[in-house]
Amino acid sequence: MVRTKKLFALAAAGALVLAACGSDDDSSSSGTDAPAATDAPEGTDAPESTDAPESTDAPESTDAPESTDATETTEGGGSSGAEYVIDTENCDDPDAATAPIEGALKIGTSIPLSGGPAVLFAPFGDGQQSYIDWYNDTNGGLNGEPVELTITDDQYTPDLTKTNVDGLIFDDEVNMLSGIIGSGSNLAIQADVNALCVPQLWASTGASDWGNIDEYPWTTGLLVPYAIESRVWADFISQEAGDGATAALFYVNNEFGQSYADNFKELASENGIEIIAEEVIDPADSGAPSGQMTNLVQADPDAILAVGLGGQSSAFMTELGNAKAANPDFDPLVYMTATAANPLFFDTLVENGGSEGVYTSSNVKFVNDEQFADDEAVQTYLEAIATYAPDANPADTSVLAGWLSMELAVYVAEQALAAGDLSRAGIMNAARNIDYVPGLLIDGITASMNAEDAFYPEATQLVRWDDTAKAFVVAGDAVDYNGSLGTYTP
Amino acid sequence: MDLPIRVARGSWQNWLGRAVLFGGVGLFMYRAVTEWSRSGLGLLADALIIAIAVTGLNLITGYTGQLSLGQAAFFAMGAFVSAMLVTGKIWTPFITDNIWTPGWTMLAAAVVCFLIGTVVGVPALRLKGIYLALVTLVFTEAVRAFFKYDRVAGVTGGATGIKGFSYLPPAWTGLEGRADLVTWFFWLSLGILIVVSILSAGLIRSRVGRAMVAVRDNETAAAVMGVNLFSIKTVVFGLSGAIAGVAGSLYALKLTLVEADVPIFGLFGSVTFLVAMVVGGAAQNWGPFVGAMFYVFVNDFARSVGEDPSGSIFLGWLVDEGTKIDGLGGVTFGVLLILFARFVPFGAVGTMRMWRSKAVLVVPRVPLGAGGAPSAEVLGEAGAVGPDQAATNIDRAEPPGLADDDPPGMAT
Repeated sequence: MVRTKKLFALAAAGALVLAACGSDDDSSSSGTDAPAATDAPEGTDAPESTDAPESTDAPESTDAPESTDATETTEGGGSSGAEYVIDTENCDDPDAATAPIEGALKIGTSIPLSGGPAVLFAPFGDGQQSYIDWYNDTNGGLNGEPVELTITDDQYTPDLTKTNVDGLIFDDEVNMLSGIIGSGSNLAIQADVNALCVPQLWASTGASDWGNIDEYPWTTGLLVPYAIESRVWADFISQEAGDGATAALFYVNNEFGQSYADNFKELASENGIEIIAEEVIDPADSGAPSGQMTNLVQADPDAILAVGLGGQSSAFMTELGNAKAANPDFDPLVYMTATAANPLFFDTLVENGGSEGVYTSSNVKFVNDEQFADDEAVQTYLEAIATYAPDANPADTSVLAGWLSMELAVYVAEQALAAGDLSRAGIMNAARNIDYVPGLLIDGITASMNAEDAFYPEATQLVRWDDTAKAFVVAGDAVDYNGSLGTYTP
Repeated sequence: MDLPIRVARGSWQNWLGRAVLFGGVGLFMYRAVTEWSRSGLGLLADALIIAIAVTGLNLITGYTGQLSLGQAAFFAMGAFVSAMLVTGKIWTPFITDNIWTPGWTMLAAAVVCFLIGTVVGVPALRLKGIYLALVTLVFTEAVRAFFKYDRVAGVTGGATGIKGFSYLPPAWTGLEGRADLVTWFFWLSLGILIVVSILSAGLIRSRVGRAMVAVRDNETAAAVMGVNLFSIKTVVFGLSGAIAGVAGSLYALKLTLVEADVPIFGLFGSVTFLVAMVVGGAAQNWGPFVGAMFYVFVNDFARSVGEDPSGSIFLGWLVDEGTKIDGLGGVTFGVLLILFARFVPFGAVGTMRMWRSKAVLVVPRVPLGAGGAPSAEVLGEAGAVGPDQAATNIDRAEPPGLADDDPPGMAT
């Protein structure tokens, strides 16, 4: 059964690649000269079709205007905060942290290449390697030297991450880490890496811990924080179901699920949403959550927040399809977390149409969508993946996230170089004061950090799966909470 | 000269053999510290920690014959006890910055795990083999679920676990902060493994050890001969748990994070320990060390094959450069384990002993006067020789590796 599904996935991947290549021919070059980020999104409620892709080797200027479409930007606020300056005094070796980086820039990462979760996460490495290969071939490297990337395998276990990172820092002498996958893995190295003052950039998780700027300033996160997603969904429920709305939670019983559940409960009480059922699933449980679904049907909430790990999301939607078929009155608004916002999870792995109308969110472009046929960043990405990782599926958001983790890593190094301080501390300063929206992120949003804003991406777009069109369609406007989370203190 | 050469235990030839063995391992460790890369030394420290837990498992499963899948539960409990004490989640004495902090939490972990272990030993009185394995498996999962239970989340951290603590090398070691963290944990783990191994070897040679082996070989006969099954099973379960607790505590302090979902705290951990024990050789003093080394380093080799298939000696001739095969590391490890099980049936140490016994046989010394055969008489030119009777029994010993630890006629 699993094998059949994987074959389907492969077939779908192939089809998507073909579709992507095909759409190239239709593009009639509308001449979207990449404008500097400074005059990027001005219009309120920037529509999806806005044609302002950022150029990939983007502008140095850091004073992008406050975005006007940030619906609820109140506290903190975009790039208006004070500049953050990293303190190297408490480093184990302050001199090493401020020493200029000589020779090639070395980046290290640790992701699951084998073991159970590798199926989902190994493509992340393809995206990472492709970006570095593309960057070196296109730009001749950084400062005249090709950027070096070392990818190590941790099987999604924190102890191996720790061993790998030790090797990366002390043996390979990498200048920074970027795109390490998993909350546990990143937490396991956070204290050490911060004491050693090696940038731990773009951790591929959305936990709040990456905003703990006072204690761990050398760590930054890549994904939209789970708190933002919960807020987007809570707002949407209030808007759709009005006062006295009821909601249910289905979540995986680990840090990842707990994080969503806690955030959502807090926001629900603020928004006057009553939580009438909570169902949990064990992280290792790969079976159909039929018992949980039975309870959810009985509770009959207006909306459900479903937090599953990998294939659990698809299993949940399959059960949802069964439950809807058996109970015609059961039709809640359902949200799957952004980690599942992947056509593979919504289509290939859900055979009974259970994903129809299910919501999720994404802050990245769905690269195979026709509207991006002229999008420079998307086309660059598609061509690069086809060249450097022909076996990878560019529509797999795991590949795309890997690409982003390296694009942002190299970007902050470029910024540090431009500022005349290409050192570990310089890179960290550039990262902590970043104000740059990569072209692969959805248009019309802002993304920045500064002394008062320790979270990078805080904007996202609610989308709904259309099972007939086999694609995500946008639901409402992009919501930009940039700066709203401020900093995190445990 | 006839093979095998017979060497009496405790003779100078026997000690020479041991010296060569210990010297070799010592040299290996010395080279590891001075020449190996950080990640290599980190893996070695991991292997030593696993070896400690496996030493505990060896007592209950290898020597006493009680198939336990509960070792990871004790490992997890040790880790959590340490983390809870170090972070002050439960009452914590001496949480000051002295050389005992947070090392002393290992002792606390050992005590807690010993007490719980004796309780877990009770079902073992009635259950055997696969049924005991099942109960201990449930125990492992129950412990994991308990740590995640939201009513105790204030103490255990619940689903998010406990983080934000560390165990830096104390000043008197001469090691410096985080840069030497790996070296520190290597020495700490090595020291604890040596202590635990010596205690374990001593236990096996004691009256309790004989009783354990008797329980394994024939429980009914052992009971008839006067072995107290209740105390043997509960106490050995407790000891085994205590040792795993110390290993878990070390693991937590090294990882600086405990979370119920860390794979080694669950069934994966129990199976890891069991595999390491069997690969090294059950009921062998050196088994846990060799098995853990095998497990960690062969797994690492398999991962390196997965990271870069074209660069490995394994598949380099078969695949193009840059080829990526998802999950190849896991498959490689699995294949290597199967091959190992097929060609090294008694575990690494057991098989090495079998080979060695074809050349050199260590026979027990005969107590003076026993059997009327003074040992001086049989100490001939070929070295030390035991009485014929004992030697013949050794030849028949099954499995072959047991000759040293399991002298015939002394089991009860």
